[in-house]
Amino acid sequence: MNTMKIEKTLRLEHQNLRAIVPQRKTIDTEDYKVDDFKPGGNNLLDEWRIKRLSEYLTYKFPMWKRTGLKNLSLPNVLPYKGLEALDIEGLNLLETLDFEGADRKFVLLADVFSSSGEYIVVEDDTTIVVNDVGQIDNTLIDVRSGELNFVRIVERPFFIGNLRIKVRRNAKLNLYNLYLGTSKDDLLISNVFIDVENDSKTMVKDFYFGGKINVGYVGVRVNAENAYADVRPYYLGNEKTVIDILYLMRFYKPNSFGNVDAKGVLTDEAKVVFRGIMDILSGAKEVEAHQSNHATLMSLKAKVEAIPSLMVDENDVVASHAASSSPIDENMVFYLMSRGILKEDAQKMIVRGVFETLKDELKRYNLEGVVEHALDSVLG
Amino acid sequence: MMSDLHELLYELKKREDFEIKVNVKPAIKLPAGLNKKLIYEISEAKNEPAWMTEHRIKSFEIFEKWHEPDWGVSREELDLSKIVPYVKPNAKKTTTWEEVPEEIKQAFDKLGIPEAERKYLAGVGAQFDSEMIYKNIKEELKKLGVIFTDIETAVREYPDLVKEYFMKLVPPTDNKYAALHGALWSGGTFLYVPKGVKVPLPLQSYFLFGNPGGGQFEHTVIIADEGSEVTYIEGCTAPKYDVVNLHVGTVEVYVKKGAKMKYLTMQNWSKNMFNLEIKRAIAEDDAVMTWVSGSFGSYKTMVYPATILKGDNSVSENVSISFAGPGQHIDTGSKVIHIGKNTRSTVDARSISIGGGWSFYRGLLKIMESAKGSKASVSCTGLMIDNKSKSDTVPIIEVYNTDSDVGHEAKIGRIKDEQIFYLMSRGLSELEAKGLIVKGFIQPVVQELPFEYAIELNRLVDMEIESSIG
Repeated sequence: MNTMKIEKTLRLEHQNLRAIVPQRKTIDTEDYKVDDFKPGGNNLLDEWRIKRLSEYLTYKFPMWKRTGLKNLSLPNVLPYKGLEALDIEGLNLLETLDFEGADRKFVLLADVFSSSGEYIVVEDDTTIVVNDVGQIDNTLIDVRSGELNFVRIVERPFFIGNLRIKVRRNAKLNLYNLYLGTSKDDLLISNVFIDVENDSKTMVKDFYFGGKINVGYVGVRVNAENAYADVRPYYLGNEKTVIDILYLMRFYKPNSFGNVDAKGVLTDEAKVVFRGIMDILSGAKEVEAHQSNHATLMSLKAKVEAIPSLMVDENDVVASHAASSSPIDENMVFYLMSRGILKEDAQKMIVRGVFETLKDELKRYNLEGVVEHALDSVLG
Repeated sequence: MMSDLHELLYELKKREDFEIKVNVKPAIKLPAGLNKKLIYEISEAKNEPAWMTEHRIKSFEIFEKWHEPDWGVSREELDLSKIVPYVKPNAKKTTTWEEVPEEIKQAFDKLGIPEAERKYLAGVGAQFDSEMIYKNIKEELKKLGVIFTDIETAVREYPDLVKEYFMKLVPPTDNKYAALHGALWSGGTFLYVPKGVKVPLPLQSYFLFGNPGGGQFEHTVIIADEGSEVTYIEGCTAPKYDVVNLHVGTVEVYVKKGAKMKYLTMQNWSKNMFNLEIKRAIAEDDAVMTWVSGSFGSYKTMVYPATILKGDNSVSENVSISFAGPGQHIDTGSKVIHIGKNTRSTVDARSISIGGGWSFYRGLLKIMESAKGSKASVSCTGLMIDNKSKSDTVPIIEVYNTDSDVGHEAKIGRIKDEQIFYLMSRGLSELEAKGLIVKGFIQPVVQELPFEYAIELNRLVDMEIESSIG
């Protein structure tokens, strides 16, 4: 079996030197047990899931201070659904796409206890829109050739999910994750791991809105040459929503390009925690990696925390990051007011402008209303 | 013509081949280990008042309860039970250079202390191992009320001032190493600049380490009273030993209303040193605090000069250069906390990684809800001379109000071939070309230094480049 190492989120070693990895704080809460395991009917897969369960049981759930995750109430386990269609080839692929994510415990949870998901193999240009994800989802996609447009709408009070995607040589991926809160008690923990091959092209657009706690992880492993990966997170926070998102790109080989460009708007008492990691290993020459986050703040009680990290072991690279936060630009407001637009309308117009590109792209899936609806509910 | 100071600093940077040699027998060398008995012995040796002894014991109790910080450089090789916490040199404190014992004097003569004092310093202190052995200040500053003395003398002569400021900004409860420091502190500087006094020349303290396996725990308290201005320079060096040495210095700076304080550090500890420092300043209304730091030496370093901008319109500037050469893990950064309205801060952090060294920038910028109208910018730049080395930046930016502008940018890259080619086409060797580019890179730090130090820093860079890739 083709087994690869777990793709860790943080790499804090260099030669014989080591940095201390922050201690993982945990919460004591009711957890799933061995008896909760429900076979899926695919022996290959069930064997793999039992191994995952064995590891799952060794961890407690994490306590996240910045996110405000201090307790957790798990739903009853539903009958298994997810990767039942997996064959040996698919299983081998799954093994190579092992990762730590926002926290290993949640990755393992979705691997073992999923109630929705699919194993998808793409050979030709394909568009898939998914809007019926379960409370725990596990999806594996193998983009062997052609272009995949994959749109996922997650609109649930409780969601823990894994999405693993392999983008093969010359293949293209356009991924849209639309995370829409349904109530003030929502919990969303989404782990997305993408492994790209040579000459592939990957575009990801995430949209976070509403709910209570939103935790998103997108890891892109660029173990490839001449690959292109562009990730654009958007967030719209209102009320007491917390959006804690981590974007990791790790480059192993030369000549690839990576970009993470996050932007969003916060109002009321919303909070965003943006964590970015651009990690370039020795030998990944001529890699170009950029990362940025800009938050527009509309309320006195909105909060931004940004941890944009660069980790570089190769000197022949271009690596940069930038992070900023500010109120709505007064000059822009003034310009619009000078054209006869009321101040309040001018401000709304500027905020809507932040999401304009995303809305335009969603038009081809007739989903622009998703963003529009979210904006309307915040801006009135 | 280069002064003795420069000559010695030049020699020091040649590390293995040019390490200074110090052979001074101590008057008191307490055994390695940490326990209350030993702390009482330190206090007794210093003839301290009861309140300070009590402070040490309380700190030790906190130390025993605290866990190790779960971040930063790995400290597996650091066995605190093997560190010799107190080494009293065989010398009495003096303000007359001639009275310093010959063997210690030789070491400091090489560092150019007397020469520097005559030429361009307003006052000089020299610490050898655990004690300040020399402290002097120009007579006219004394008359203006400037206090520049070792901290033990301050404990005796200015107890009220010391009680008001000592370990109030960095309390022993801050972290495990602050507690350790509170228990073992020895030596260091107490500087008080009265209201309105502008000290025209820098004051300097130099710290020399002369015992294998020893720990240095000097404490510095600086109070720049309202409207005053002062620049303070600290330099650190030590011969290299085969065993681990430990430096846990603590610096507390109080910048009162309208005062301006500039704190410069040139750290060149030898490569067996764990350098775990705590530096913190608090700025009142309209005050300006500037940290200028150069980290060149040590095996592993953790230091993050911090400024709390408590007063309205207060300003923090933080300029630093860190140099991680072969085998070094230099974890440095900055912290700025904006509390007052219209506060301003800038951070310009530059690092050079070379010969396999690991440079890690770790920063915190926090804009509190009360800090309306604040502006802050953080810039990190990493220069990687080769691809054996590593350069990381992990800034944390927390913004809790909407009426502030915050910007951060970071870049990591190398010296471009065309830059070297251009300079080589003008007759420079490859080594000289790289040296010149690196010197340009560190210019923002160099320009903050007094002229003589700036020259020396450039020489250090030449030598680091030469020893790492030459």
